Amino acid sequence: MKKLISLLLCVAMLVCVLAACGTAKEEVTEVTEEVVEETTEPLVYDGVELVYWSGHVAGTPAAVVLEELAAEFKAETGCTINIQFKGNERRQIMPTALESGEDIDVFDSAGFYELRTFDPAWIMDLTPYYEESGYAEKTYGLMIKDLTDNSPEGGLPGVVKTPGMNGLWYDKAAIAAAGITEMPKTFDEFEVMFDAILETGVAPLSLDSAYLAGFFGTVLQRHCGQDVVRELSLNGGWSENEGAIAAAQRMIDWKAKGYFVDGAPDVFPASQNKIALGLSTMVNCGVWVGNEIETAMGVDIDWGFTKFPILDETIDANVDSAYSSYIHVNETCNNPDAAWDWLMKIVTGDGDKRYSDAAMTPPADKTNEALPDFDGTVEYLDSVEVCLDVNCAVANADMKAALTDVMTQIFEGKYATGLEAMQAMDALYN
Amino acid sequence: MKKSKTFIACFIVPCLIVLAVTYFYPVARTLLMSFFKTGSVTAPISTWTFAGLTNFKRIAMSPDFRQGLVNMLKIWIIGGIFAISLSLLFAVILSHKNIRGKHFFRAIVYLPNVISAVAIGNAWLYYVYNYDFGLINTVLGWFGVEHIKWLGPDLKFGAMLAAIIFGVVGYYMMVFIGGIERIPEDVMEAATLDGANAWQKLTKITLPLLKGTTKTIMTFWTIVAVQSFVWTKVFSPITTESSTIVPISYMYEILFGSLQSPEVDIGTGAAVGVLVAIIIMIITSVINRLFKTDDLEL
Repeated sequence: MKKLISLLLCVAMLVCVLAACGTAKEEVTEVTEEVVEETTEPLVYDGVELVYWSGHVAGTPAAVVLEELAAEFKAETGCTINIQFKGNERRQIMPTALESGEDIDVFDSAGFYELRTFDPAWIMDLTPYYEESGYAEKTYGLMIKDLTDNSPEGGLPGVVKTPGMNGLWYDKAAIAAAGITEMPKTFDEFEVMFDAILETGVAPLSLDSAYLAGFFGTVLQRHCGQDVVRELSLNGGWSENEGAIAAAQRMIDWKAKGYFVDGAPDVFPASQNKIALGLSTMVNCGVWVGNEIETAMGVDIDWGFTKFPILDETIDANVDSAYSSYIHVNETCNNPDAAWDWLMKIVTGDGDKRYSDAAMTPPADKTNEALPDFDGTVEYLDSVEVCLDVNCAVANADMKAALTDVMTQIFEGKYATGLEAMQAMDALYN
Repeated sequence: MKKSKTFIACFIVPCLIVLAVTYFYPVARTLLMSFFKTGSVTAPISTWTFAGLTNFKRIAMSPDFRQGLVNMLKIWIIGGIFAISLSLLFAVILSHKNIRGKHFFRAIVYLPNVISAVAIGNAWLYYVYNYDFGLINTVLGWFGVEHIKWLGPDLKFGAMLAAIIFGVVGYYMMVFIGGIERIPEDVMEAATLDGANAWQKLTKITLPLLKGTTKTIMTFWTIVAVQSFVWTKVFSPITTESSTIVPISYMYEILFGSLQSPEVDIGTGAAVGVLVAIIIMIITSVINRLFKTDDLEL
């Protein structure tokens, strides 16, 4: 009996090991049979197979749409797209895979900050395809500029896949209940709105510790300019900068006035979820936050988006948050024409509409209409001239945690004045 | 039986080859890499640029690394005292002959060890420490005490440490129980006959005879303290924080970059690994000196 139990346990362990060692490889084998039967001539990319490393997780709505698009692409062109969903691990494992020469034809990147770290040998310049197709007219000029500016060797090393922005996402119903009909623009106007919201018994702002450095970084950027903030982060001098002191003082005042919901800054995602509980009205975050809150709390919120407040028109007036993930074609791709057509299938027209709706982001093709929760985002993305680096305040890789700690203490109410807070920042550089 | 050196070599060589490829080569390469600047982990050695001690100097000057080191030492010392004391206490109680249901209690105390650290960490984060709805604040609320921010920057380290200790106590308890049950009964009987009370038996017999077991557990705990990366990531998701950063999480950010600092520095990451390995070797040799087991005779 004991031997039988041992044998069964061994079999169970073996099965678990084999299952755990399996890859997340997703192979698209479905073909629309009707189309195949009717076609008598070979399709343009018959026999071609492209390996695509996607940053999505298999089974998510966006991943399902990608699989559907791949099946349609195969039916239309004969090209098989072998999608491998790597999820969040993609960023860590992809450089090694590309360097070792693994067969990857098309791959995602998280944005221009990741693009900067790529080896030029991994990326094909797609400029000829851009010129031939006129693709640049369909997407956002700033993101194409970011592609070029951050390309390891110049040119156009990819296409825009999932645009997004950081800003204030608010519960329209809660804002309307406070009698707000038009969203403010400047910090002073926001404070008037916050006072009106407080009158309704609700806190204006949620703030989670995970996004605190980005939030305060944006406040600093508005008061000093992002190049100055980056320089302060790298070399110190916070307490000598009037803008930085003023930014810290404003946040200390906001905390004292009760503009942040009780418990803020809280551990992610406790504070942002309070919007769903009717305890708060808005949060500064990326495009994903609405879907994140609704999924976590099981509620449906009518979301609105507005830009982060500005100080005045003289400091970084044309700088705002706008970014995108990209898709790239490997320099060693076995069929660049097929790869380009596959990219266009995802990021333009109906494919982009379906994909961006599933991914809960604004469309990459600006001729598409965004979901109601992203009303106005296409126009906003098209209007941004210079991209804001929300993490400019923690650009120093060796003291990121230390700087974030001091920023957290500002929102915990530890410092009486902005000067005191900035002196604490400077103390880190000694 | 006639010894066959060829036969012995046939058995040892494959193992040596695997050891060399999967252990010695990566260790040697990492050690070498810590003195160079390189663009990626797998870049050929010919593309590396010699940097001398630059990587180590960067680490020494980094406030984040220094704080990580302090956190790691605090986990090892403070956490070690609590983890080992608690597990020894449970082991002594649950190895006593007259405790009813001791097998059940052993299973209960051991249960957290079979659950992943991520699950335990998230349970503590969202169900125990939550500011509004957490267990602790709810109980405090019954007594009219104001809610405490357990996950604020001042208390987060202690909160994380409590969760780590919760996760390891069961396993160490079982190891201690094994050590206690190996103590011959006639030694205890002789002590009883000599008039020794429970405390004397514990301090004069049980603890000295558990030296070897304690040394083993301290080694395990050292590894937990050094590799508390998972706990750090659970308690500080998305961004690293001073209260929870450890050298391994600093190394992770340097090696793979982050949203805030996308640039990578492989040489510095390797240097962190080398330093952490040296620290483990120092701690292990201190433990070996403190817990010499060759002076005991039964």
